[in-house]
Amino acid sequence: MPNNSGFSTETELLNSAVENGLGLAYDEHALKQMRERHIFRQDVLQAVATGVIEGVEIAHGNEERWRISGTNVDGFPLTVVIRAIRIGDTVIYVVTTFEPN
Amino acid sequence: MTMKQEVLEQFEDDLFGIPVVLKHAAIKTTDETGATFITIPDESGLAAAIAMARAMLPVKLQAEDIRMMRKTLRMKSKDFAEAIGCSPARLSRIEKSTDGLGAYSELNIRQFVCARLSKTAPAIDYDPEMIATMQICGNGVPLMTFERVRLKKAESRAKTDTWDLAA
Repeated sequence: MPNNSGFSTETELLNSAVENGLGLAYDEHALKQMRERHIFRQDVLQAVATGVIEGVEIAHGNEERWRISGTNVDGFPLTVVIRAIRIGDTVIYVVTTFEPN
Repeated sequence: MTMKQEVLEQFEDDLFGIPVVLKHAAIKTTDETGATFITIPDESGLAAAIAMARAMLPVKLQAEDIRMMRKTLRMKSKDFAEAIGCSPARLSRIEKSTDGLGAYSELNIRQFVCARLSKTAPAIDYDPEMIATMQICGNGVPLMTFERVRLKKAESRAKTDTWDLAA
């Protein structure tokens, strides 16, 4: 997917990390949405591994929220919002919500 | 409250397409606000292990098994249909109900899935001959349990963690 979002470095890092086995975390809201909308974990991996970071929002406490625009395995648009949490030197990427396209 | 992490002794998941149990692998994190979230290491590897283990299990494939296998292969319906030698319309029907799926087609799907995923899930036993001679029985898939194991590669002697069916 061409990346004209201005977050090409972050996008490349995230795409590559997920392709190389980075485990995504999911919060309760995201899991509920997945069950309701029949979104598989494989679809989320596909969207995050091949999608583009369209926006980064800095929330309270310097928490970053990334809006990733990608597609599911079937090629349909899937937008995933992820927040990056730091624990020491480790960053955990938590899938928080799926936005309508 | 500080951030807390623990490895769960057992975790049930149904979001790979079929329900599975994970032993000593899923990590539960509780953040400063008390919110919890679960991380499963190497989700792609686990999806591959689930798809292969199901393909090697001689119980008739269900519609959700085939959809799970296709999604794990990250193939669109059209491409998967072509790879297994059927039309996209027929695959669409099979992904709703496998009532009309013949034994030959079923074995063909199992072979294709295992051949494609065996490198991603190296701990899952795969023998093409076992699939070729498989006697498929009726319904009743047991709930499969997976765990992380350490494998040593023959060629490089490097050790890697991977997913395997739990005993």
